[in-house]
Amino acid sequence: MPNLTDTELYVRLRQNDKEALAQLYDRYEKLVYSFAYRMTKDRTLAEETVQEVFVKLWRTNAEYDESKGKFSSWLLTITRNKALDFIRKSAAKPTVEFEERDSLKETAETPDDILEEKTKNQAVRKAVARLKEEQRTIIELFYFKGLTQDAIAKQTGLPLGTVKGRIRLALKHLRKYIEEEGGKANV
Amino acid sequence: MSNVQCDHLIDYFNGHLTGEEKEQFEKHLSSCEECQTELAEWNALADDLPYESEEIEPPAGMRERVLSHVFAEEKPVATETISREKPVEKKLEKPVPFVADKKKRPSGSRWLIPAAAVLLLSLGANAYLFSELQTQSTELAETQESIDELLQFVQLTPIEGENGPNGTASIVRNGSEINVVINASSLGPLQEEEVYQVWLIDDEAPQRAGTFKSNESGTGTVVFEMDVNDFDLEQWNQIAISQEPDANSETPLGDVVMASDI
Repeated sequence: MPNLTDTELYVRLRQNDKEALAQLYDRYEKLVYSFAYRMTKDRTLAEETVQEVFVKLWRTNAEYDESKGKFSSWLLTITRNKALDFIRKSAAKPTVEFEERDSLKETAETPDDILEEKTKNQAVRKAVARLKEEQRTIIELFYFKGLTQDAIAKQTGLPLGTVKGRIRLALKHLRKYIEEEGGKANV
Repeated sequence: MSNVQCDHLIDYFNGHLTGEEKEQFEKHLSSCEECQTELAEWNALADDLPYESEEIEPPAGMRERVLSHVFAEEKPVATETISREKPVEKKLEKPVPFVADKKKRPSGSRWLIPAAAVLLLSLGANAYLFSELQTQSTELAETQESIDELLQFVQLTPIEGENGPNGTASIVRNGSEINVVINASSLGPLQEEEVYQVWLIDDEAPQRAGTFKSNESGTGTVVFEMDVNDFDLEQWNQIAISQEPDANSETPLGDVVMASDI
C-alpha cells in the first residue's frame, strides 16, 4: 500500500490493520525521532517518546480529524506533548536553567549539506537563523522546552505581562521569514 | 486582552494547567476569539518548527522494539492482513540446515550488545515507573503490564545476493506471552496462494513460527505467539523464512529467502 495517503492509512489502522501502522511508522520514524531528540536531548527519552506516540496512535483514543489539518502536524503535536511529558518526568534534568548552547542554532552546514536537505527543513532553519537572538531564545523556551509563562519571564528577564506579546512578535517574524525562504508558512 | 484568563494561554498550550484551572480556561476559550486565533496559530507551528530539528538516524532495532511494544497493546479484534497463529506442536523430519552449518557459538557472544541495550532501557523504564509511582498507582499497574523484555534480536540476512529479502526477528516476552516479531523487506512478489513462512529450527526439526504475505512495497510483518511453557530460547539454532506454495506447509517446501543463527 505504498500509494495510500496518510489519512487512508490512518483509517486502516483504526480498523486494526497492523500493516497500516507499520507504514505510517516507516513514513514518520525519522521525523518524529529527530523532533523528539531535538526536544528531549536524550536518545533514550527520544525513543520512549516515539514509542508512546505510536502506542497512542494504535490505541483507539487518538482521534485525527482531517478537517483540522495535516496528519503530519497532528502526529508532531502528539510528539511534542509526549516529549514535554518525558522532559518533566525526567527528574535528573530539571528545566530551570536555560543555557545558551541549548538555543536554536543558526545554520552552519556546508553547501553540500544544504543541497541534500529537504526544502522544508532548509527553509525553516534559514528562517530561524534570521531571527534575532532574543526571538530565537523565546521560541526555544516557549515551544521546544514548553515552559510556563512565569518561567519564561524569569529566564528572559521580561516582565510577565509582556511574554505573550514577545512570543507573538517572534512568531510573526518567523512566519514571514519561512514564507520568504520558500517554506510556505501556515496561517 | 481585557480578560485575565487570556494570560493563561501559554500555560494551557504547554500543558501546565490542570483540573479546575484548565476547565475555567477552556470555558473562557470557547468565547474568546482572540485566544482561539492565537491558539490556532500556535497549533499550526507543528507544521513548521519540528522541521527545524536536525535529522538524526534512529538507533538500530528501534523499529522492532517500538512496533513489538505497540502491538503488545493488543486490540480486541485481530486484523486479517497479519496472521497470528498458535504454534504447531508436532515435530517433523530432520531438515537440511538453511545457513552454512557453523559450530554453534557460545550463546553469550551475540547477546552482549542487545542485553546491554535492554538493561539500559529497563533502567530508564524503572526510573519512569518510580516517578509514576509517586503520582498514580493505578497508572503504574497498567504501565508495568505493558513492559516488554527483549529476549533476542537478530538481523535476517538474504540467502542470495546482498540486496535480497532481509529483515529482523525479535523475540519479546510480555508478561506470560512470548512473541516472535518479524519485520521483513525487499520481498519479491508472491503468486496467489503463496505465503512467507517463518521457521524456528533446532537440531531436529523446523517449527512454524508465523505466516505472512508481503505488500506491494515488498514489506511484511508478523507477530507470532509462542506457548510460554514450551518455550526455551536455547533450544533454537536458527530462524529462517521461506517462500511457500501455500499456508499449509508443515515442513519447508519452497526456497528459504533469509535466515539467521540465533
